[in-house]
Amino acid sequence: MQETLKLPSITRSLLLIIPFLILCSFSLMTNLSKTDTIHNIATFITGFFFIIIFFFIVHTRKTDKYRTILFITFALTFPLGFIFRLYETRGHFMILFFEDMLQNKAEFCIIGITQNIIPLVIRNEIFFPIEAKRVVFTLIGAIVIGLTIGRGFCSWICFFGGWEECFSRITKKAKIKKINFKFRLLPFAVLFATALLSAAFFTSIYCFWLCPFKTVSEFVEISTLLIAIQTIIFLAFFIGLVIILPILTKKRTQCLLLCPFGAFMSFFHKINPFEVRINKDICTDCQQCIKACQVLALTPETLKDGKTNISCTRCAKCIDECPNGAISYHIHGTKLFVKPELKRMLFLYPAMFASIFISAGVIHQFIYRIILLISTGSLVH
Amino acid sequence: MGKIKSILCYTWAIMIIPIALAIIFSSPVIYSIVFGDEGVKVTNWISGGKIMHVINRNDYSIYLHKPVFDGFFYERKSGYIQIDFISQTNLPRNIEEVIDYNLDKKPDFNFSLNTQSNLYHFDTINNKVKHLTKEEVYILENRRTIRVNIEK
Repeated sequence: MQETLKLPSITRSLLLIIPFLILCSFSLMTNLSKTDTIHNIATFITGFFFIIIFFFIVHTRKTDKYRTILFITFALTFPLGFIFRLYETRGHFMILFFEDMLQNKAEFCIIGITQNIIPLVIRNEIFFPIEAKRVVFTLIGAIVIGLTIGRGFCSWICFFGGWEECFSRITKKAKIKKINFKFRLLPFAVLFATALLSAAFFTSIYCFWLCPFKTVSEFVEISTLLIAIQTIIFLAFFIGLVIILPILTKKRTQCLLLCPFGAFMSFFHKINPFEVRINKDICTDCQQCIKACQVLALTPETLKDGKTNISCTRCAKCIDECPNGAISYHIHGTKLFVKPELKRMLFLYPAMFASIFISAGVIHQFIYRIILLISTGSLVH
Repeated sequence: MGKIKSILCYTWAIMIIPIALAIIFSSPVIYSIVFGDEGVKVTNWISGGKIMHVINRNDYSIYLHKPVFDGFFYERKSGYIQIDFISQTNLPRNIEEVIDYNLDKKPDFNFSLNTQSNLYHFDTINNKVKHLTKEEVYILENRRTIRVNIEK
């Protein structure tokens, strides 16, 4: 039987956040500046925000609710900080010129890893205009995250997924309720097809042709008809998969139907310590979890097995939504449905730490720009 | 047996953060072990290839890059050569050059460009030189770069 969980006392919650506080301080200390006070104020506010979110996750046990606040904050704060940082380093906003490409000055995002693995392994080359070493370090980072929290990256760290999550929560009920479960295999097809096409054409196909999140980061200057077509395609994907379909389906449709990086991270589903399990003794088969899951990781078949499939992003939405408390975090190889709170905490520490280690910079940049605007009247140095 | 497995799995879950940090901080070491001294480079199709020869003129310099024919497993039959016209200050109003891209001391194509209007004229001499399209004339500050399509 599932252990009955009572809400922890404030003292217990405060004690439980101490390990995170130490990790958080360690991460933020490395980011302090000796000369820039605004930078340090932004660092302090960012750290405080993460600690507050973690406290509420621990204290209220509403993992998904507070994770979502953090996740959407990443997405909404990312563009401002990113665009103005680009302006400071390259002298122009959002647009990537040929000159920047020749000097390997493009910004690399983790999704681009999927397009560069084959040339990296076979030819020691990358197909993206960036300092090549950074791609290798990003790949190592992605593998480490995969080994730590699996596809948890997609719900705890990614600073793009929050856009869909944000739009998917606008309406109370989905207008499109039935989505074929086979559609969740599409990102795997996109991953293999774009990786092979990238190898054939010596370019990062997904990055240049498909990635909808260029709309909120940077895109190539429209100087040829080909680039104009690429721009129309990625804008259409942004409007369709990131705005309209999430509103209509209440699912994260870009992650569900397109993202090759999500597919790549799915391969770590079994080789990280954590997973989500359903206690079949308690489950009443109400299928609320299937409706709630934003990436179709739960199907009637997986529910019968008491497991999620490899698309699971460990977002905890199903855990929060289950009316019977039948779903919980689990550690591979341990006894099922024993010490669920310990297992949840053991998942939350690496998830939140990875989150602060990778995505805190996004919120930090945003706060930094706002303080800069208030104190100097300008968003750039 | 089950208890030992359980203890090991809990230990794995607890140790995952220190292990992750150790791997992240060892990234430069991992990089040098895996890729050695040569490291990783950006494909020539993006970077334009190595600079093979520099010709200095009064107002600007011409940088001839190594022709790019890279294929994934074998070299391709067709590729391109990148040529940069770079000035330290301002490029002259007109650039007129006879280019010998393979350095065989025979002219391969004529290229002229008005740097104000950016209208250009291109004539092939060597039949291995194919064409230069408008999209392959890149206009940069104090610099023009062309990528001429060639065959092996």
